[in-house]
Amino acid sequence: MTPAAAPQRPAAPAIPRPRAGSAGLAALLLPYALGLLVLGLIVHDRGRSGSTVYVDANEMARTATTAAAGGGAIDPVCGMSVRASGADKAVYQGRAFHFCSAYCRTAFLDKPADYAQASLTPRPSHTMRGLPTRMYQWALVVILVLSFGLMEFFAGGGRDAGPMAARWNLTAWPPLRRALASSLFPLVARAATSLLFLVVIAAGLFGNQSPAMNIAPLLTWTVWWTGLIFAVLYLGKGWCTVCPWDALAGWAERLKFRGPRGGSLGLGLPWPKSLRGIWPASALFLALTWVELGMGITLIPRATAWVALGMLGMAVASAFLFERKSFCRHACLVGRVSGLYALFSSVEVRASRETCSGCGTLDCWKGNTLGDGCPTFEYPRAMKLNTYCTMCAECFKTCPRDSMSLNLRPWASDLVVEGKPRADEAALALVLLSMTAFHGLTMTPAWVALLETTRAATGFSFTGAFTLLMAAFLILPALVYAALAMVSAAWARVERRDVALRFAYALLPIALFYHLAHNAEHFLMEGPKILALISDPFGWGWNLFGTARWAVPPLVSLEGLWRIQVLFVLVGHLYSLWITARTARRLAPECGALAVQIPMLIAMATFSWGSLWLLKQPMEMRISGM
Amino acid sequence: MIWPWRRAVQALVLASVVLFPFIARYGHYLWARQTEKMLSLWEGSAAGLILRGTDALMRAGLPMEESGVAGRRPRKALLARADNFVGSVPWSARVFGVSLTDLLAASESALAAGSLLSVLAVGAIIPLIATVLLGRVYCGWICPVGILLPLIRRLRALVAFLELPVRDVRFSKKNKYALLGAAAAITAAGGLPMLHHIYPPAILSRECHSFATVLFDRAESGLFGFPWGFATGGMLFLGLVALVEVALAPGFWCASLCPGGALYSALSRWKLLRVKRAKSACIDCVICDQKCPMQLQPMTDKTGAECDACGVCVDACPTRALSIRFSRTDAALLILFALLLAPPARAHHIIGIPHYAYDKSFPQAPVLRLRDKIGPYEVTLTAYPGNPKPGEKSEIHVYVADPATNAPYEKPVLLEAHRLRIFGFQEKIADAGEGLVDMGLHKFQVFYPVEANYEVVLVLPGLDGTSTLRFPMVIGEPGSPWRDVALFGGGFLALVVAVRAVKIKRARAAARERIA
Repeated sequence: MTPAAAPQRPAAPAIPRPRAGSAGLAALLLPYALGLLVLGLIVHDRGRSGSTVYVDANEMARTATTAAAGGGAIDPVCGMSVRASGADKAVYQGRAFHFCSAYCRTAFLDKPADYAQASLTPRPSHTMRGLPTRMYQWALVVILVLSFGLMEFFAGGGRDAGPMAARWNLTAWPPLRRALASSLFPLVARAATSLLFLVVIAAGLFGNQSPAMNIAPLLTWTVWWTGLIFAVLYLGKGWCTVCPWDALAGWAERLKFRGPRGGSLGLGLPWPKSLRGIWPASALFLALTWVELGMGITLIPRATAWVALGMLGMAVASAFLFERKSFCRHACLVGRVSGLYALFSSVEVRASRETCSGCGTLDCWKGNTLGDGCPTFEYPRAMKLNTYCTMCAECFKTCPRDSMSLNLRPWASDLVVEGKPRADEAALALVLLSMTAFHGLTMTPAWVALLETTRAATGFSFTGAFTLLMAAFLILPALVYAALAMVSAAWARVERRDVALRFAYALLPIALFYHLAHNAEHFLMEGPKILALISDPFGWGWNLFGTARWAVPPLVSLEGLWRIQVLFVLVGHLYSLWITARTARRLAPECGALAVQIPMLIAMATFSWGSLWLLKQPMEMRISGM
Repeated sequence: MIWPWRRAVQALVLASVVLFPFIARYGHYLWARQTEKMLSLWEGSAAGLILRGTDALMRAGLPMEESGVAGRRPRKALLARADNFVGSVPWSARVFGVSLTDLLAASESALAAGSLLSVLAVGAIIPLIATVLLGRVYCGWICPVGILLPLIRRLRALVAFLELPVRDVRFSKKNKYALLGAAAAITAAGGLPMLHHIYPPAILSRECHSFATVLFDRAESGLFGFPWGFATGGMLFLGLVALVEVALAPGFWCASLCPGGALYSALSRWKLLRVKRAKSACIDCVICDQKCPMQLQPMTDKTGAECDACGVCVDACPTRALSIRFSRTDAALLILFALLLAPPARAHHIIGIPHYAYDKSFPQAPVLRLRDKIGPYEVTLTAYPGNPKPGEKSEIHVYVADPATNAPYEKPVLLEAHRLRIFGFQEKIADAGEGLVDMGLHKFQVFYPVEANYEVVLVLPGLDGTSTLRFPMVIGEPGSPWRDVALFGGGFLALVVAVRAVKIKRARAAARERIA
């Protein structure tokens, strides 16, 4: 027997190479370097500290029961429930005390007698310590130095995008292009997310209504909402690609799962003129923030399900009434918030200008038998920004010339190129900035004092006072920003409107990274509890995967968390500075750029200072609020 | 013109179906001398309104007796009146003192028991004679479903307007005999009557009774919310029949599937009341054939035992060629006259007869027992009653003990109660307080003001670690998640149907424009 001739294998497709110079390559890799740094911090931290927060009252009860066996203990300083095997430990009068962090330990060692007494009557506290003062001050100094000392450093480059033009076309790798062009591409992932979504709704409606025993609140508000913002950094609008609302609405409207539309049920009306732009999405975002914080729905499984059903209802109604995916484009708060953030993201879908210039068929806009025309009314050939692209890959399917590509790119690429500023987007950027900060504020002790003062001063009910404060927090940052923009416009003699709209985009990184810093706390500290809930999503005493009794410690210690938070704020500020500098160069000639810039730098530094101040405050954890 | 008479009779029967359960309950309170009390207690509620209406109706023509401070009800006279209207109409009831028993019910229970009880036989006399003589007159003139189904079939116009498919499927009329035969065989073999589960007039009447029971029982417990007592399997079945009637096969139930109809048809082979056709006047226009709700053909004299004497064909005939007549008028009149002379027989009717007259129900109050752990201790919370009425005192006993030593927890235990409102608002209804301590047992009293979800919070201030425990309390029947699901599903369905209808109408208008 002669061995069969080796089959002729096609040459392995070449992995595409980035199109970038060395500075561009550095810009391309920076996001991943930062990601690795954060992961490193977490991993390093896990080896060092064993402190733990039990976020559920039952879990805490269990800890207290096992405390005698050496499993858990109470931090005598802050009252947190911590693991007794942790490194932060002190022995006083023959008794061992355990701490959440070195800071509590130091505080204990200062006045051991006081705290030792206190620990005899422990308080079930769920408040996490904020940034230590020294760290806060250092970060502030760094921000001020970066903003005003080194601003000329960022100014270089002029109109040219420089290293930001670096791109790495991933779809030059044929398997990836084939995968994106396949009709299975978003379908499989969407089926999975839709299933999960329905389980969450079922859990919210029918499950145990105790928030710590139901998977719906934690999965929605802590894991999903935070994960969404994290995903924007590296995957852009990846959520929209797998969005279950749109998936379920689309399937219901088309009565089929695969392939382009045709014979669908919907009316295909044009979206009403009065609701054009993303104003509806901004309004929904405010409404959601209002019910979320004002009504505390993050702690009510059933209300969480109502919100999910409400979103689904709006998506379904729009799918049946309006053409394409009008809801995604104009009204979906998640899509629009992540859309603005996605200007910063490190991936993009773009068309090749050379290939498109010879195209007369416009399949990507009109759709063909392989896929739909762009569902969010983008014109892929001319698309320059990420905002409205949901990365649904329909254009990969429809384009007969393979013009579309999925590129890696440096962060903030869309923010440094010249786009057409729009009032609705600028407004949402400001709303995002003020509302994420407001969100953080409501979890601090300062909020309680503020709320009580307001109630005493106005005589309003809780809801009234809350609404008043929320409105104030919405308007005040906008006023500060508008005032500074006016100063800026007056100094440089440029259009006020131009200044106000263009620089609003420069605020996005500050908002995004504060959002991340704030939610990192929830995600890293409370998120691991999801492992236990997965085994018992309805709180009916199941143990599907054997993890229901797990008490998973937080992923990082407090010190580790603080480092990550400060890092996030600094990175966000840095990007904002850079974008400010470039926007100023574009807006005003060389001599006027500085004049335009300085009031805006004051705004940036103020907002970042606000972020740091909020992080310095102790924070109420979410599920433990019960 | 026959239809106004027929509809009037049917409407009267339908009204009685709804009213009889209330009359029965009224008789119950009258018997127990509780009418006055209930009327004053339920002022302003649906139950009170219904009871007052029933009272007014029953008292029609009877003045209040002059005695004592206020006028008293003529109790004995009212009781006698109420006793004349019991049971589940249409004809398993005592109406104006005449006992009637549904033939299907009588034959089924006779078949199941292997013997015919005299009370059933007595009640069945009038229906039997009426059927043999007049045919399926019950179906056409008395059965309350006979008026409801045509009303529901009007929805066909709406369904067609919504561009949903409406079909007109016809089934064989022999199906109902097969169903009746099969059920009879199974009942004879197994000894279990079963047709009442699918016999629509029986279901309707039973559900009316159960609705009244739920409404008044809840009112007696101080619950005046909407009673969902009628959302049962029987009603679901009726809904299903209605759905098929509307969308698929109008008239299928009475013509092809009703076991009662099968029995009446089988008994009316030699009936004297028939549709007559004057051949000379008939112009073969087919209108009567098209209009016949039983899917018969009066134009070719094909009516026979299936005809329910509804008279639709008679009214519809443009030349008045059709009429309903006795074929042997003399014999018919004779039998009817004999029936009128017959003394009213009395049969026993379970539904509606008060068995006991008492002021208050005394079932064991349900006790709620919840257990939890806190620190090293086991906590047992006992609520008595477990699901108390709003405003009623509920005793909560808390026992905290160390399971290892069985020693009770000595330090104070505080209790708070909150009402859980929508969107997580909590309203404190009982402040943290120490209860009575008795041999390690902590006793509290809580008043829940209204039907709602509550939370009882135990605070053990002397405990390490966690010091609070939360127990859910449900008072009455506050909302259900199914309601949310139904609301969403219903809204979704309505949207789909409306959008589809608009789309089809637009397409049709566009097509019309193209042609024009």
